[in-house]
Amino acid sequence: MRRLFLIACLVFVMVSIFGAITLTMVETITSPARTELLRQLLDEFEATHPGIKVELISPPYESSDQKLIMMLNTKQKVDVFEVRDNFLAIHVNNKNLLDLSEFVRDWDGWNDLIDLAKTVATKIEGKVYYIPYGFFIKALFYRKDILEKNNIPVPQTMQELYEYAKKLTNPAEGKYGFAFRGGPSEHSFSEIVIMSHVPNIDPSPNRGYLTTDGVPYHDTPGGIEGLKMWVKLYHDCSPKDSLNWGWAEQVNGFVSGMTPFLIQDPDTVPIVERRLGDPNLYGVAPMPVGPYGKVYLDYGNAGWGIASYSKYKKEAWELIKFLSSPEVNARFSKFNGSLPISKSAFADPYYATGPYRAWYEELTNPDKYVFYERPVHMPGFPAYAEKHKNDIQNILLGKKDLYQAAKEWADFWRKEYGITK
Amino acid sequence: MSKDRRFIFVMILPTVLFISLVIFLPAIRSIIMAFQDYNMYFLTKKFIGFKNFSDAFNDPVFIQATKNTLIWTLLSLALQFVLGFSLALLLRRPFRGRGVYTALVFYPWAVSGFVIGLQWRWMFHGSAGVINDLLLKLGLIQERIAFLSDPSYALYAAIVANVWYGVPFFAIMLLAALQSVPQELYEAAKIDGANAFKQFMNVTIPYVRPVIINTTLIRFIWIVNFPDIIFSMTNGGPAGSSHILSTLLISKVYNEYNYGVASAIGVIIMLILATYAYVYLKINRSEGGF
Amino acid sequence: MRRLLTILRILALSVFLVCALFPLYWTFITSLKGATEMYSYPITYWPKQVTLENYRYLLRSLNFGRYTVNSIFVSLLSSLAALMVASFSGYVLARRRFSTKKVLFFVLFITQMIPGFMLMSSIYVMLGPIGLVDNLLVLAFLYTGIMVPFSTIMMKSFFERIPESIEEAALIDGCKKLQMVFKIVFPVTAPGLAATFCFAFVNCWNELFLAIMLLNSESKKTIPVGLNSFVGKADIDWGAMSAGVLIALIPAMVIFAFAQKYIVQGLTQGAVKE
Repeated sequence: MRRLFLIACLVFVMVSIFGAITLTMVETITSPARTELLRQLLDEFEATHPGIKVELISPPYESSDQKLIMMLNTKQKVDVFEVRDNFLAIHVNNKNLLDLSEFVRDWDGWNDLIDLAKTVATKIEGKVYYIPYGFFIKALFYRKDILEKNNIPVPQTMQELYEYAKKLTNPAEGKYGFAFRGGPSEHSFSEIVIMSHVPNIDPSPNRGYLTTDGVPYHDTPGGIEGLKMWVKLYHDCSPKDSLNWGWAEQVNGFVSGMTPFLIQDPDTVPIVERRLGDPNLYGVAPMPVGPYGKVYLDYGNAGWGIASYSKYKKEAWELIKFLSSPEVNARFSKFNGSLPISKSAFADPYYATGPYRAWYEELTNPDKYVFYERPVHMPGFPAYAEKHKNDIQNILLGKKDLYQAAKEWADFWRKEYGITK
Repeated sequence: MSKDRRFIFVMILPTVLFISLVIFLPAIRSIIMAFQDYNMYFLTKKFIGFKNFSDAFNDPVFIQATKNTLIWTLLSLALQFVLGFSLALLLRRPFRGRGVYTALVFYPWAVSGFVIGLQWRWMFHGSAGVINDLLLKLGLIQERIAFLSDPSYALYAAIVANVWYGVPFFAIMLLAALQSVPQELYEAAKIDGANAFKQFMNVTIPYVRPVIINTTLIRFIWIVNFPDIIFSMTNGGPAGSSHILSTLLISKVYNEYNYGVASAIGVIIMLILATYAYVYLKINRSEGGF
Repeated sequence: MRRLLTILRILALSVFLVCALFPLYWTFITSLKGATEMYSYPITYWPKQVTLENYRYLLRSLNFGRYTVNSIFVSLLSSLAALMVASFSGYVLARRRFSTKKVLFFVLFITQMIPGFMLMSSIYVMLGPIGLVDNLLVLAFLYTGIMVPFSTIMMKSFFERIPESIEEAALIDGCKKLQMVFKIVFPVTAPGLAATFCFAFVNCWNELFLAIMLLNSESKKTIPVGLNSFVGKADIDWGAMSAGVLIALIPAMVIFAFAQKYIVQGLTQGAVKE
């Protein structure tokens, strides 16, 4: 009997030492190709960390974040998960993210992060709630061949963008200038153009959409001017059905040559190259600036966090360190098309030349390209985004008054911020 | 309990258990949610009375969605019925290869709503869509129509897809009903001197009337609760012009993370359907059933 | 005159057939087109360059084989279970009179009015904390529950079509109750059973929202969830999606081809001779 007991203890001990721990990782910006890449990276991690296995869960994109939040709220087994900027506040409010500040103190990779990465990671209460893996910042894609054929230079300002796009527009021949975005998430495009016309946007944290006068920008004179410009871009330079265009339609328009100017994120680069087949057919320029010599860009990003209730916090941190190491992050970013997070990565010629040079310009010229914080973490934001899209579509259809819409948006944010002026 | 009563009880028990657990229990939970502040930001779950309902009503898209629900349902139903009935009439008399023909022409019913939405989205595509191409080639339009980006067309494009999907259901049910009409009734009518049309009106229609009533009743309810096609085809756009109440429900969850308001909309849908069913049955004095 | 009517009839039948099959045809050729030809002008009605790349991609990078096995398992299990449960209650509803009959029927009817999506979040919220998610058996159980109401209604109609005299005759001939059920009633209701089974199967096969919500691991996903992965943040891969749709469609189409024959047969009164 005693022997049996001892053997049982031995087995138990051995299993605990050698038994594999399984980490559960949930991604949300799911795509079949990226899942393949992640799986590869995870296999490499498993090879260098015996005793740890990683299970990757990849919900279909359309409902992935909803799924993740439900899993977290019902305390399903999740150890590492993808944290997107507009969901960070939700995760923290629901107390599902572990504060990584302790781990980060002993990590030298932290100092290699670009400043923007450190800023976003510590956005909430100054605590490190996640480690970003990449940035999505918009720039201007253009068709080199089409511009050359028509003797059109690369626009430096919004006014030039409008004029050149208009010159290229000939509806009778099915040719237009600008790949307008009127469909889902249109605000991340329209607001770039609109806000560049406002002279005094306040880029400080927690002041998203406010001017330095402390009021929402939407119905200031500059905001109205910018909105008018956006409307002009639609009517004079874009195909009629771009009213409802999403990413796919924008990219199709660009690749087919119908709309040679395209505002998009860096993850569009690999896709455009693959579809065009010839890298000489296109180029990327930094975002044109507004009448005041500035343009305001938000810095979309995503990263990896640890579930607050995870039973394997140390092992989860090992995984995150692995994914955030400069080499792995560079590989991931190159595939993903996002901008990498470490300073050392930017020394790589891949990012210093070619299409990525445009973003390098944007990241290193803060007087022209001002990074501001879009208020995605405020509870009213999702409703605002829906309303903004619907209102713009109605303005373009002639069903809503431009000034009325701008006032409603400003009132919305006045209420959100509790401004009584 | 008598042996027979016990028999009945045992036979019904599994059904009752299943629908209580799988349908009624979650439904009650949802109805409770309609009165709670249940969104993903705060998860407080505190009771807020009818606020979710008033939020739903005050959403400008809500009125449009209600109107659209009526258009969507009535138009789809009418077209599905007319086309389904026509098809059933055409199939009434047997012909060579009818088995194969019906297997092919009825297949739309086997396709999932989500896939139908995507297929038709591709076909209605503003630039690369085949429907635009065909309309142009036939000279019916001068330039391409952006069906899914135009508020006046979006909902109707979805209705086309829905009709394509729903015709087989009616055709099958009505064909069975038509074939059930006893031959003797037709012969009696012929003896009385009725021509084909009179036979149709006085024999066929009255006989299949119960089936028509029941299928339209259940189909109406299914169509109202059928968000799949619109969801994958237009997602309610543009500018919310193609939302129906059930897709608005989904949008509140996926886009605004607000389960409370979504559940409130669900309750509203149920109330509307319950009223409709009551009125419909009163008018037709049928006991429901096939 | 007769001739004209026949010609018109053939014409009308052809129009219906073309309309029904055209989307299928379009999906088929889309699945054979390459990425560059997909958006080219003018639109090609047959691919200039037929490519099997989409199918290869599908079988290579998604666990489509696994998804198919899961779908078959879940759909088969739920439709058989629903059929059994529905036959029991359908039989009793058709044959017996009892006080709660109308109420029960009304209850079944009400279940159809509940918006499906609303149920799903509640189901998840209730099952999540007790760890009953990511489980194909649980999914099958839920599907069964969802299919039972309408299947019961269907079986009731099928049973009503069968004259009671057949059962009485068998009983008179000395069959015991159970024997009667299997030897006599069963074969006669076969079309009805087949029809209800197929109807339930196709619905389970195509169900999307509940599967997305409940299934996490790759090894558990069903086909609709797999297809939904093609709707990405950015783009819909129309080529691969069309290939996937076709592969998923074929079993459903085949099964439904049988179903429609039996539904018509089963619902046709007087089809059962005494």
